[in-house]
Amino acid sequence: MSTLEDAVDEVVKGNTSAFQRLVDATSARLLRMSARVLGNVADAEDVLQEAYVKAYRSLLAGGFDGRSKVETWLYRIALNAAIDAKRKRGSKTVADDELVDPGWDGRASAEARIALQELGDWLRDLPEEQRIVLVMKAVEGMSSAEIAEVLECSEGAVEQRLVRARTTLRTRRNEP
Amino acid sequence: MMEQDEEIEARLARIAAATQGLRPRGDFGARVMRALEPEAQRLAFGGMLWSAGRRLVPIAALAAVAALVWAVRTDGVVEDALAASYDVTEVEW
Repeated sequence: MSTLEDAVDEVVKGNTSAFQRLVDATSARLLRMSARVLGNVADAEDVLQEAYVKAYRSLLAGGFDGRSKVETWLYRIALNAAIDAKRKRGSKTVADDELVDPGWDGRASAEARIALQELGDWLRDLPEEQRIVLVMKAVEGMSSAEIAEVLECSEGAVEQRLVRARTTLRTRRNEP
Repeated sequence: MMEQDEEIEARLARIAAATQGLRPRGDFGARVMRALEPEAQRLAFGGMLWSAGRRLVPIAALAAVAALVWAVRTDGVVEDALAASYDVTEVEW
């Protein structure tokens, strides 16, 4: 069975169409992560498309050294792209009707849209590093080891950020 | 505090479940591949130049060696010619 590593090898050898396999295998998960970071599916798709182009360039330039899994490497690129986009957008709120393209095929349900907005509003004031780690752990369901690998930090640092994030949320909830 | 933590976890879990069904649009993969086309063409052109350049390296090396040999030989001829004009006195009888 062909793996994502095989697809990477083919792309590096010049078979661009093999990149489609990487997109098909990873886009759903990466879109969810990107939407949860950005709070908006339409922006998440644009950012993810750019992230894939960046990943393609990087592959051909020898940027994938095989030290981490292909999925982890792509996740890192997509996460950084989402964080950059979020920084550029700043605290600008997205109008409700902008959250999803009206021509959307309906898979982004109203429930998902409301949940994304709720997540964005709730975690808005958390420092970025705490917000990202909390989303990866509690919403994406990743282990601390996986998060540490993506963020290229220690598991201890991940745990510390999680504790701080939860403390901030508790404190804020207790404020009058 | 435990209660509050559970509340936070439950809220995050509810948000996770509500957004679990998010998928890119059906044509997303095709759009990514279209976005890659100019990149692939640019890189293919660069690759073609590189491989053509690599094929020219031995020819360029041979040309350089030939030029060097020619320069050394020519230098000898010129030096002989110059040497011939020094210390020559024409004497008329």
